[in-house]
Amino acid sequence: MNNYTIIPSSLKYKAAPSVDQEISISLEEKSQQMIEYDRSSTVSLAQVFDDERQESMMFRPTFKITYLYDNVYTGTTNYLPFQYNLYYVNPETSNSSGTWKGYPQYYEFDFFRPDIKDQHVVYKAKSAYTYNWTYYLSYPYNNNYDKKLFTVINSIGQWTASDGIPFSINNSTQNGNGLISFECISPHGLSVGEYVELSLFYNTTNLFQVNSLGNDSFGSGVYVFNIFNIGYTGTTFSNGVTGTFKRIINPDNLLETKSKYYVREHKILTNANDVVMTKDGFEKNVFNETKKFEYSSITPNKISRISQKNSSNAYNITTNYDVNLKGIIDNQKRPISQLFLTIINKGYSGYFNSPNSGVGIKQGWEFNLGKTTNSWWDSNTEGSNTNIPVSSYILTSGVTQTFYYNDDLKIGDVVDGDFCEWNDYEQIERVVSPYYQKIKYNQLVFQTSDANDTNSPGYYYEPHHPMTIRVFSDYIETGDVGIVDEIPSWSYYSSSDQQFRWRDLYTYGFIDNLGRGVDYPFLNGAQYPYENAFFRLIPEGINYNSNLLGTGIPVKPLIDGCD
Amino acid sequence: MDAINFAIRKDAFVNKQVNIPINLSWDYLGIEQSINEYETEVIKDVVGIGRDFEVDRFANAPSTGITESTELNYEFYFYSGGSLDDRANWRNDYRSEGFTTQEVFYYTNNFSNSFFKLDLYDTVDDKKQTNYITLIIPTQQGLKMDTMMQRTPVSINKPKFVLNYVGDKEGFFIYWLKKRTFLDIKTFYMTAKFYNAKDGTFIKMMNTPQSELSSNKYSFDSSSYFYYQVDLDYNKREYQVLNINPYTADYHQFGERAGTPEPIKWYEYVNPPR
Repeated sequence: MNNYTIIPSSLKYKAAPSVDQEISISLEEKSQQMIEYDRSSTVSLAQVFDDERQESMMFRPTFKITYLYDNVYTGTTNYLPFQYNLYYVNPETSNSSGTWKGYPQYYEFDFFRPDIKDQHVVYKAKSAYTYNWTYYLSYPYNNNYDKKLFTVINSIGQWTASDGIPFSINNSTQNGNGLISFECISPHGLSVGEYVELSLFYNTTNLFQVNSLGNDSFGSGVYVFNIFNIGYTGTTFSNGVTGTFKRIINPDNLLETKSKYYVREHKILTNANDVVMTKDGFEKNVFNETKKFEYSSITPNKISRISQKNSSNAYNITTNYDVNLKGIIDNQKRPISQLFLTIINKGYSGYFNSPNSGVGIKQGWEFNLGKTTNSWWDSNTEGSNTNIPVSSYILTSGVTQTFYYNDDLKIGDVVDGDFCEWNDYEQIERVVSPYYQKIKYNQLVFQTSDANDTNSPGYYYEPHHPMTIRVFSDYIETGDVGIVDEIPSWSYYSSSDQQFRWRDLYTYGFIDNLGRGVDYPFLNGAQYPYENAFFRLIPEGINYNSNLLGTGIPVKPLIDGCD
Repeated sequence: MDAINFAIRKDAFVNKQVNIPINLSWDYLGIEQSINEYETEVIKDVVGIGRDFEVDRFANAPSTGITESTELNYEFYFYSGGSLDDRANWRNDYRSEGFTTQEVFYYTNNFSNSFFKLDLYDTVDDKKQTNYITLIIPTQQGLKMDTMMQRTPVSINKPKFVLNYVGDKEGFFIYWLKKRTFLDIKTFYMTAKFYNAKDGTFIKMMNTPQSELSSNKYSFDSSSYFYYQVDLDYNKREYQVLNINPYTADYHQFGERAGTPEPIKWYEYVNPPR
């Protein structure tokens, strides 16, 4: 503010006259005209398109699913509509014995069920794709740290997900030096030089550095880690001792660099009727479809027909409306970066899903799969029950049977997913062990074994199939408190570093120099991501990892030469 | 510029203060937002508003009741000649349209290249109407009928179709705009024609045979006799076909559902003699 002192003109000199005076006040303006480039904006269609694309959270995902399965279990049934439609095994013998043994037809497994007029179900064409399986979109929604897990491997038994990854100890030597090998039930995710926090204590310490990975077996590096045996005494590290470990990157920053372990839970985004499935024209997988002619003279109802054991189709699945993902955050409270196609067995025809406590489908993780079935999959084991209830109906034809099928999931339902590891410091999630579900024949309807076994062999499948819709950067961004603008909400504050840490979310269309990123069509305000996936229905004893059978057994490679 | 004069009275030698108000009628708040808004507006003027022409799949709505059948039944009847008063002269048989049993059985080009064309208009007024959707039903689809080919019993196609989600699907689904922002049409009116590849002609079809017309066989209300109504349900992505001929004997009432379960019947329209 400027101050002016006005001296009356009469005081300027002696006898000065009094006159009016004028003060000119200068107004200083500090603004300036905008320069040309600030005033004008070049309208770029590409820019407008990209702006809309980056802003849109509407998605219309499409999956192409190649379905691989083998129909391997033969059985017998007295329920006539089923008995008349088996793929017979040794029908000549059956004709004389009266016990007809065979495989259910391919359409009991396939995604598409044709109208076969077997007098079993009132066929509705609209439901052709949902008699056997149902399909949903889901996203990882929550971490369940308290999930009770179990494995029979090395008699480890039960542990809590947050405890980490179980192992069994096996002492060995390398170049004359003692090594303590920890044989894990799933890939450990460790690197040489990192540390592990064991559930076991030697004196007062449970923190040990990883010296090497693997044993003499091919591909064992991902399952086995070793620490130097510097002369530990006692029984802490005796052969056969079991426990759990957690990965630690920096022993000086235990709290922040220790991994967390949990079971990822999925929330359902769509109802069963919200997806459209169609057969992919002309596309078959490499495996032949096995068919044969059943002669009328060697069928129980004396009617000839074509019998088919398996099929080799591929399918397209998409939603019938745009899914709005705005505001949805994943299990790490980050913007959703993966959608999952969740495929759940329905089994409406009733071959499968004899319930225990109202549940037909069993669940487990890769470490529960073995060469033969184990106690985890027994119908009476409550811990392996899913949360998907069954319904039933009763029919009589030859005999009276109750047929069970799994209920449809609804929007908002939550189902279990993979066993995962998360590291706050690295800001990265790793799947430790994939999630599986198992269906078993209802032995009262279709006997695959002589005795009514509660732990009969069955088929396994992975229900969740991921689709990447956004990609987080491969680098970790850091920012000091108060310095960096626009720290994202999902950043992690490291007290030791006094910094925020996060991974950037790549924009749509950006592919980094490692080939990471997404670039799929954007049309009419919606993103159109696309994913190819395989759905495998795995018979008992096919997909086990031989490493999981226990110590000293050669490990099947995770990726073989064909991949 | 206004000149403002102040008279400052001298009171001894006490300093006096004059506040000179400077009024700026300029508001800096929200300037950037205004520019952004203006920019968006200008871009919209220059580029135009995006229009969504993407289509969705509409299926025939299930019937009410226990069966919830989604079958869509069509029956096409061709005029075989004879009296226009006799309904029996309209036959559900390609041979009434000039095809031979051999042509139908062997799917010769003149048969297999023939097709039914269903056009969906926005109004029944043929002076104003616009054709928005066309459905094709090929002759390769359809049910079979037993007959004799020379002395051999054979099964040949007949112009009777059961369309559904599975099986014969061509012509079952209507693909139409998924959003109603560009065109907001909920009701269409369907006509049918048969394109005959044997003689290169096409014939128009009616929803009632001319035998049912009591007086003049060639003078009737075209808006009633040439159309079925097709109603779209945008929420369920389904459609229904309805009878809009109050004089037909094939349906019980005006507005009754056609196609499910009662078939949608089309009869060849016979032109007046020259």
